[in-house]
Amino acid sequence: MTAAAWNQLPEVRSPVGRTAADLLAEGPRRQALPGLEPMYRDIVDYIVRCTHRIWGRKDIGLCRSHCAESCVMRTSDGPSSGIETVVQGTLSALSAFADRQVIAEDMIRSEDAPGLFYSSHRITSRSTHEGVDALYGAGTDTAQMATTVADCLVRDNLIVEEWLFRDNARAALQMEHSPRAMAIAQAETDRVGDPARHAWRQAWIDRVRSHEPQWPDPDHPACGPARLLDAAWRADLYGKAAGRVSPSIEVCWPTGRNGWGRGYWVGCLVQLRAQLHRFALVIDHWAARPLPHGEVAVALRWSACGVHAGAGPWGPPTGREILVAGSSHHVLRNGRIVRDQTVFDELAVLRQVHGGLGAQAPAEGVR
Amino acid sequence: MTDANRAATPPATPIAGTDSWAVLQQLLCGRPAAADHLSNALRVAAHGHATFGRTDALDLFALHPLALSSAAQVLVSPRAIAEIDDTADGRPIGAFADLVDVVISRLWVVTATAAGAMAEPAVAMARDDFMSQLRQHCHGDAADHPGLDAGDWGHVTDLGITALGALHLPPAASSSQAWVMRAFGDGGSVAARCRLRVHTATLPRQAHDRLVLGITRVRGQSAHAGASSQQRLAVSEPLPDPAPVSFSGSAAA
Repeated sequence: MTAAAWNQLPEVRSPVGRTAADLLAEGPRRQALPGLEPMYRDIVDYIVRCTHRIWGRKDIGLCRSHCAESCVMRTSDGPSSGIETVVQGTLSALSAFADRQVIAEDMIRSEDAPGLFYSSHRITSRSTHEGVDALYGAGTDTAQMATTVADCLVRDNLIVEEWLFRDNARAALQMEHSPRAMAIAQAETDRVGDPARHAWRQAWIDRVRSHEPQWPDPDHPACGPARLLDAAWRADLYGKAAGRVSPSIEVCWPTGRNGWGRGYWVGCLVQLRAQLHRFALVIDHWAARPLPHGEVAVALRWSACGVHAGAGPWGPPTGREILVAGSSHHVLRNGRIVRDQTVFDELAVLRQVHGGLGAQAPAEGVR
Repeated sequence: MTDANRAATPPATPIAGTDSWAVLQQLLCGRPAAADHLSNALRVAAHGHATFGRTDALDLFALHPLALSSAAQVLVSPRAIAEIDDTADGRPIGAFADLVDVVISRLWVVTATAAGAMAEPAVAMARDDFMSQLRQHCHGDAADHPGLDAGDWGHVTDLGITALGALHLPPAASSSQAWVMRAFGDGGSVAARCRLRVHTATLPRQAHDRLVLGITRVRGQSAHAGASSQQRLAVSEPLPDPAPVSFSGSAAA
């Protein structure tokens, strides 16, 4: 089985530059999707519309017909599995943030084998904290607006696996919570009980450290960005990497890191890398799709890890091994990156820095 | 410009893509009729605020309506629209929108910062904007701007350098610089959206950012008399600076 060409079916359009009415317009199929409800016009429409139906229209039970019974959701706080867990999590979120608008910014997808779809859905959601939330407590009527990338694997018309990365530190700050205080509290809770429940994190780190790099085909649009990320984070050749992005690149990274230019872009990469010694990186998945005006959208899902031994915004070095997993959505113009929107959960990073999620303090003298 | 009662009328010079222009005027005035031609994920930077989504954008302009005059200079291409005007008291103001067909997908506005506008907190970033001892004061590459004749690139960079000069900063003695973020032309004129990183000549040195919109006549006779009107620039006030986020136990954490 071979993957479909990245630019097949150009009539299956990105959400970029489309109105709400256009995105939600009903009509005939634009793509063969045997077995899916007739209302879904293509795989982009499937992801965007079912998200709208579940979160906006509040038909949360649709999760049961859109996700596999044993679907696994992976976040930087750990995995969860089973469709009822998904339903319950959605109910909880909406009971605290009822007006959550989940707006699709882009949906970069691939068909990795016939009938095996992969979607990287970038959304920005705006909501008001009115109800009781497990993390944030009682409602405060404060609003949050954070970006999420949800990568979904769709097999036999069902979402079987999802990787979810959300800019949670930004959301916390918008609601006037301290990410550091929240992370410390979470870490204290994590240290109570059976530590085996955090084994997933070490398994993820072990996979990153033992992984043999794989690359997109040279003629795939994701090849350049993947090689570039590798040149920066694995070879520490930031100048070489920067030479392949636009001098005017627009940079949107977590927790308000919004800037432009090669220097700012390098700054983001160096800031993270400087804090993590014995750094390792693996690019887990890639996809690309055409955008309006001949531009190309590339999605890279990646995992990185390293020992927190350098100074930086996360606080004094702790010697703990930290896992950072995220997704980078790039816009390519004439083959060069003009926009980098990277999402990872910095709150989950801080939680590890403070000893949560099973991140162990090093033995005395070992760093 | 900030006088919402001034009618937004088409400019005297006929323009292509009038629909996009009309949508932009509707949006700037906060009129809901614009919603049908706004990207669902519209991002706007205006009045010192940054918004996401068409409803927040319309809300912003409903609170701070902006009607451009018939004297506004307008340049339209299939992928962008730029417009520069002057307020009644002579301050240059302007708007620059990205287009997908006739849908506005992003918008930047140069005008007065609204009272109380502030940037979101952000993790501070150490950056080297030059990455070389060979310094240039306007960054960019013509190849990144498909709607621009490469031969007009010099006119575009002149906009950025002129904007720095307008701040009375001698470029050769300063670390301040400009970036060309968007540029396009129509054969007779070019328009650009630039960002400035301005380093003040104080000790300790302080930096701030500004937004610049510019339109320059590069061929033929300008619609506006006089050599100085060949180039129109609108330079924002210093943009609100984000409060630095620190996770180490001090500052906003």
